[in-house]
Amino acid sequence: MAQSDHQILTHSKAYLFATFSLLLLTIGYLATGQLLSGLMSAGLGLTLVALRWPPGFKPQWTSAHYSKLCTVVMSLLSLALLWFDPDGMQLWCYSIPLLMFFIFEFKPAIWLVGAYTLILSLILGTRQDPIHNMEFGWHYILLIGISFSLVYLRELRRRQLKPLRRTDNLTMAATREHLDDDLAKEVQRSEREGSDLAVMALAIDPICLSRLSPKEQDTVTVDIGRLLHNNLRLFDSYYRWQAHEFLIVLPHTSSAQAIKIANALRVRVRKEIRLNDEPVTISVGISGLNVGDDGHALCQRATQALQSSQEKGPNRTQLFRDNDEEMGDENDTQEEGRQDS
Amino acid sequence: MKTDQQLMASISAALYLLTSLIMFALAVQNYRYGLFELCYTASLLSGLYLGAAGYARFARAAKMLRGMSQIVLAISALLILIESWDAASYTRYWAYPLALLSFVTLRHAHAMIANAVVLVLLAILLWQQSNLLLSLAFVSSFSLLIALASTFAQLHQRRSRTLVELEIRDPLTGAYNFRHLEDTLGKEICRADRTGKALSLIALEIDYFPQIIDLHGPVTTQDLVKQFADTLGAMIRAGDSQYCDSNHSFYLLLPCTPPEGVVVIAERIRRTIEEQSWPVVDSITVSLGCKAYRPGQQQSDANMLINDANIALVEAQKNGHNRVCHHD
Repeated sequence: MAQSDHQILTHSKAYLFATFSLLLLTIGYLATGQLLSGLMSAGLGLTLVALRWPPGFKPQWTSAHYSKLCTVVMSLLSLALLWFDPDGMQLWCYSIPLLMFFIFEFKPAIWLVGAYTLILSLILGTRQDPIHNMEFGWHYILLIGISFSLVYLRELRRRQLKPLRRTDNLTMAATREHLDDDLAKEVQRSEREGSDLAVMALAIDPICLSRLSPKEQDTVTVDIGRLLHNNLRLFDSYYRWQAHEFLIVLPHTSSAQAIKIANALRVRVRKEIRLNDEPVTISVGISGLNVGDDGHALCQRATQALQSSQEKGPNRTQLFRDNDEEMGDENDTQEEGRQDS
Repeated sequence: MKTDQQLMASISAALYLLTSLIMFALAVQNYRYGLFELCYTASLLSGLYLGAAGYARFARAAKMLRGMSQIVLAISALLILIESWDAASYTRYWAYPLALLSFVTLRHAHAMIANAVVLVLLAILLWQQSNLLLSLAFVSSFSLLIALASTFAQLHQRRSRTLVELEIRDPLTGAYNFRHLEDTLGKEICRADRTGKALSLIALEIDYFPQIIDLHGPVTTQDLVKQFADTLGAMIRAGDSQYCDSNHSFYLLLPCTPPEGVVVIAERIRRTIEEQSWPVVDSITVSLGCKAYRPGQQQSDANMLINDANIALVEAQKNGHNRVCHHD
């Protein structure tokens, strides 16, 4: 779930109000000597606070995991409160299912809510208070029903939006799903018009990547996305191919022109994108359209060229050749040397 | 594919029906336990929601649906609050589903205000009848539920808006919409400048279309528009694209097509449309305005091209419809 979705919840006034009144409740419990209930409602309040102000994360411990953990802790606490102090706190059980649906994806949320409801009914079954149980139970069922409609609306919109989101949020690149479609159209068009078409695979060099932390890697990828956006022609399109790899479709461009464009891009990236005062370098693989090629073959050859250029060393451009892949790129390297000095 | 309005109507109807059933079950149970006051309220609410479900099922406009929801929810909140004068420890449960229901069916701001009022009143009643701690427990859990429900509602609203922004196709005809025309045309002009090949744009309208709508009504004319769009889509070549704006003006974008090519295509379209037989009205004719863009000879942007094509279209209509005009 995106960060902003969480923030809408945790920054809302109602959420802060809930946290605040829980704090008052804790004080009330402690003042009247109900130590156990006080501690548990303090725990609930703390998880609310923890959701609102998450600590900084180590990369492998992401914020999604963290809020999931908070939700589970909260549901366990609410069940414990129901067990020890049935009268006051059973109302908390009403908010938990919707919270689960919010934090978890649809399928795990269903299982969790099911398990939660089961434990809840077991605990309620041990109590000798049929009237409260009845009032509580029927409204709980109703609440779950209405929650389902909210979740249904959410899933529906997500499904409708998914094919429409053409660009990746991070880099403004189009998403990979659109590549096949668009490329097929371009191939068809270049056959109709008899014009050239080149595909370029572009990646950050592994040496640079290994120096950077995952977060820095993302920043660099975003920077490169922006650089592509500003430097490509209006009718060129670029796609996020892999985490740190872009695929660029260049209509009306011969292989020779594509090499020029690629070299210009390489120089720009080296000049403009730096992290911790060290330049970032990219490698590029290029493949041009031959008669009878389809989009898939083009992409494959461009990535192959990229791989072979990366094997030779950082900051290179390589054109895909069928027979002699050893076809040197001395020109590029020389040009590169000139840029360095 | 259902429209949003139908979707909301059926969801509201289903929810009201569910609520009505549960209220009925509650009424029966309360009767068995001898809580007659609660039984009355529950059966009243059950009847109310049943009526609401029926109304939502057949409501035509979104406004009517929302107005009805406002009234129904206001009445049920009032009933619950009245009931709370002496039995708040039971009725505190009743407020929760009502809160969620309000966020599904009402506007976000209205739901927020209504729930805040219910929250305050019930909290005071609970405080008076039992103790402060119970009231605080109610306040904290209820406001968390409100926070969650309002987040869901806000996200839904936001997604609906993005959906409208990102949609590139006209829902009725399946053609691309006008906004997408502006985007694509910009790209194609840049491409034409680069390759030096001409680019053409055709604007076309069904002749006397406003009169056709007046005569046959907007709903029945939809079939005509749909079939018209399908016919146009079948006539253009691969690589060409078809657009439709909200006034049922169509645009055809033909890359790599010189003025001589456009003449042939436009004339072919005009003849085919004229000779075919159509639903609703037997025969229709079209007027077409063509604009060719030759790179190198003039500078132009997307809006200017669209404008020129429209000028040619208006000229064709002025000269007596059913003809092709060029803008030079």
